[in-house]
Amino acid sequence: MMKRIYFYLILILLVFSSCKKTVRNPQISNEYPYIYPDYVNVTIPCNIAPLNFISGVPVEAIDAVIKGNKSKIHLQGKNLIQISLKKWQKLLKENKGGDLNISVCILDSSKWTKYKDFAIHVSKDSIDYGLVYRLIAPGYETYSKMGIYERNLSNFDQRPIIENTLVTGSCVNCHAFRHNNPDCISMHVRGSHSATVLQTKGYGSEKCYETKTDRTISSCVYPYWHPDGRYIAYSNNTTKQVFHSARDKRVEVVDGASDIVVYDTKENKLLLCPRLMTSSFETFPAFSADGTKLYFCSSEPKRLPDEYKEIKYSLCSISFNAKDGTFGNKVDTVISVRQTGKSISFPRPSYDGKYLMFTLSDYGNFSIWHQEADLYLLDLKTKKYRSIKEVNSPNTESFHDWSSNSRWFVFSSRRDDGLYTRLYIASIGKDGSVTKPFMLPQKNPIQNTFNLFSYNIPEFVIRPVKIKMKSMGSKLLKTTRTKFEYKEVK
Amino acid sequence: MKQYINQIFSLIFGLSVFLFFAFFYQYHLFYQEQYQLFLFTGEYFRQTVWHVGGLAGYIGAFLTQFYYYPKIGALIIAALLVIIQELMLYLSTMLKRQSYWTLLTFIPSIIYWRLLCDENTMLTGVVALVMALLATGFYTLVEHGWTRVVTLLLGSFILYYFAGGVYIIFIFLSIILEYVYFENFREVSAYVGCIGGILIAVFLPWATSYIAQATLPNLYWGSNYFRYPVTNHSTFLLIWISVALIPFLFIIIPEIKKHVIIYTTAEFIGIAALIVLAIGQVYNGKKENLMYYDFMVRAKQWDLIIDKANHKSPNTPLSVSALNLALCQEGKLADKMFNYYQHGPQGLLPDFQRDFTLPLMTGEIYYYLGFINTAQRYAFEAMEAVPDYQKSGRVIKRLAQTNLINGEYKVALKYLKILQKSLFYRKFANKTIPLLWNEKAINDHPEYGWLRKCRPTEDFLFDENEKDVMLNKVFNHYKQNRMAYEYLMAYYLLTDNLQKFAKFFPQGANIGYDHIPYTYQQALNYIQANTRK
Repeated sequence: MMKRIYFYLILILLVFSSCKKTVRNPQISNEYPYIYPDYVNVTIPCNIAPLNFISGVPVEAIDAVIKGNKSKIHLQGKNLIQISLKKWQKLLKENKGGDLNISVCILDSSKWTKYKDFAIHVSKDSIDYGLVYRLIAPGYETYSKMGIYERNLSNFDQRPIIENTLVTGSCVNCHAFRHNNPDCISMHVRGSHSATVLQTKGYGSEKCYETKTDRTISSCVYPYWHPDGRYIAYSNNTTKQVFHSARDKRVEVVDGASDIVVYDTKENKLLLCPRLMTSSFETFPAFSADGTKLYFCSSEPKRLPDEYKEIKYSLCSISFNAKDGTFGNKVDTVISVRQTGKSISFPRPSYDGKYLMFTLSDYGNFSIWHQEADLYLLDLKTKKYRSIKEVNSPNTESFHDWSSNSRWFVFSSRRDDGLYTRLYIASIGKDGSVTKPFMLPQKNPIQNTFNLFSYNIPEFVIRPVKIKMKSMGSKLLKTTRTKFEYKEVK
Repeated sequence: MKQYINQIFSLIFGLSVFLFFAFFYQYHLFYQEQYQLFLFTGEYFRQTVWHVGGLAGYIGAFLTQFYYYPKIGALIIAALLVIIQELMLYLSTMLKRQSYWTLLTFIPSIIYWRLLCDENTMLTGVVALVMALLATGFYTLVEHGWTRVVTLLLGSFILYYFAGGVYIIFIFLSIILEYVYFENFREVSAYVGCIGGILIAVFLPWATSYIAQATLPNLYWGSNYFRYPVTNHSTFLLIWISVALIPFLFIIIPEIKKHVIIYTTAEFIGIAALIVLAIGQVYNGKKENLMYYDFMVRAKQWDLIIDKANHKSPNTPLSVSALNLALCQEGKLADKMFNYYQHGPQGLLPDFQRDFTLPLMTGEIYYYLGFINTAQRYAFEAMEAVPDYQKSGRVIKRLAQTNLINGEYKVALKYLKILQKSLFYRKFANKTIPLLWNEKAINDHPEYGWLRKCRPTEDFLFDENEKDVMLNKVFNHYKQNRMAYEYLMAYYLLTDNLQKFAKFFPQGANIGYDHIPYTYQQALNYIQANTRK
């Protein structure tokens, strides 16, 4: 009996092993292989999920040998190279600070071609636990199913935090955490059950708020937590969409007015500062790493929609005292529109206090719809800024976020097809040098083609988000909301 | 003959359903088909099945794709409704071996037939009901008492996650069967099954609400039986009650002993009357007409639209705009638009609405006018507004076309690759992919090449409150765009702006008219007469 079992086991093994084609007499190419996503010569964190890839063009078979210092993985697929999580993690552990050598051979028209080997550098710096992003179709005014999801960066697990099926017909957006710590959460739900959900004291402390007050022009959006967790900076925007008629432009999202406010979670008070609520358009607030400054974007007001192309934002800052919730007397212009001739959006300081990353586009503030939008890096010590050419593409680069050790940043890009936003991650060295970005690892990259969602507002988190989903749903469905109060500050 | 009587009735019933949907409600089926896109991919399966009632949704979507050919769609509906009736008959006869009341088993199918006349009722619910009845049928085959308990408890779980709210029917019927068919009054297993079943019926959706991102009513009722997530569930309740009650009626209604033929005839007439009443009440010829216009625009059957209008002039913005588009495509708008009822400028270019029907039609008009970005936006908006979050084959096709015309080949390829995974859009995708990055082939294409010439290349913000300004811009971009000219002229006429009409009229001198269109002649005469005064 046992003999028979062994016989069949060996037979099965033989059948499976014979499925692998032997790479024989390959033609040698001096080019790197055309793979998707492009992982050629990228730098990755030591705890990232496997970088599965496919051939960029249809082929008969693809063969890959991933070699490290001590071990190697040999894989073959019809079009897909899918790496075992365990083996990959072992490889990363063995090669921390070193390189993985990837050798790719492709079988096409019954002939093998061996492409130039490429390296994947395994950084000693790890990356945060995960990313939280919204998945939404890149549409206009209406929206279908969407949600805010958490992705574990060490594997491929993705789970919903909130989907708009929880509250029928709603729109969920603008999630933010305190310096990547998911104990403090701010997120918005729009629609007939609109509210801002705040979780200020960890699991179970979620509450639904009405953030519009008599003194503010709209509900609070674009949240950014103060590092001590007491304050959240928001902007109030009256937003409108207009639509382009020529081919490469689709939508323009413009603000008719906008102000910045800071919410004191302890006192339930919006701090209203006249210097942040001027006739200019103030938007996209972000606290400095130490919390003593509030960065934001500001533009001269213009007549809409005629002058929408004239709206260009400068990067400004104002000092902030977290002890008493007061602001400095003057607003500093950090980077003026006169310098750039363009428009700044999404200022995000690194948590080590060294840099501030922002998006620069020709005009306006909704850079995701601007093909020319690129990422820029401001050195906060030297006050010099530069285009991050290492990561920018001919297409849109827009929202971005820093990992908690400030060694990695994630950004959204439309480089793949010009419309559906995908996430890319790049490392930044202590000297400010940036490496080639790599796409958020995909279990099966071909699924990107069938994925009709865009990745929106990627935010790092240092551990899984814990929020009482059912309780939040019930609270949202009720009409009771805690109202934001306000306090005028000088 | 007597033994085949039920099969004959089933056949007549199935044939009636088929004829109804194949010939009287076929455009409802086209309408349904365009608001989903079934894909033969593992990811589509995973995403669809990974919900309460997901497997029924997957099978429902699989079957709905065949509505692309309404006769096949009608056959599928007829088959499913007959299966429901046959399963009802099987279960009822389990409770009472012989009965002359078998025609009662048609009632749930008739109610579902009536419900399917609503274009927002999804086939998922029918599939789910079949699954629940099959599960109940399986329950009758289990002989051992404790095995039945396991079947009931486990079956309820599985059925709930695979088919949704219909699990209640399975639980209810299984309990009835346990006591009536198996006559298991004194066994502990019967009580365990009964109590366990009731607990599952009450608490399973509630427990699920801790892990599923859905509202409690949707978890109890099943969210994918109807296109809208929030709806009045009373009709479903009616079906479920009828399904649960009919086997029960078999037991309690006294058997016919005399005048069997008279009773059976009366029963037949009663059922036939019920069908006529139930379907006649909800039959909506106006909607079917609207869907006809919508489909004919989609199929570019301009002459059929005009033929239809010649029999009865359309009168809603959607149907009038379809007719005007057809007249324009056939070169008759300028001559004959006032031969038909006009619905003001709304019958020419309806305003945008945040729903999934009107923008689809309006987007068609903008497409042929050369407003490619606007057509793309309207199509996208329509798809995003589909209440059950489905994607649309028709829209994805249009998005592929607009991106191809705009030269956005990468995203066009994405859409075409998606369509390649479908059954009925694959052919279009395979035919279109070779055009990508082939400028000459696109420019030579009769439709795409022409629209490339017509689409504006200089950017301006689209404002639907100023449709005449927009039309003027498109016409000025390419002065051979006769459709833009005729729509602009029609817009002026429909808004009584004769001054602008007169001013703009000469612009049409070089776009191929062999005579001054009749409508324009009348307008010019009127202007001239009033000027003389």
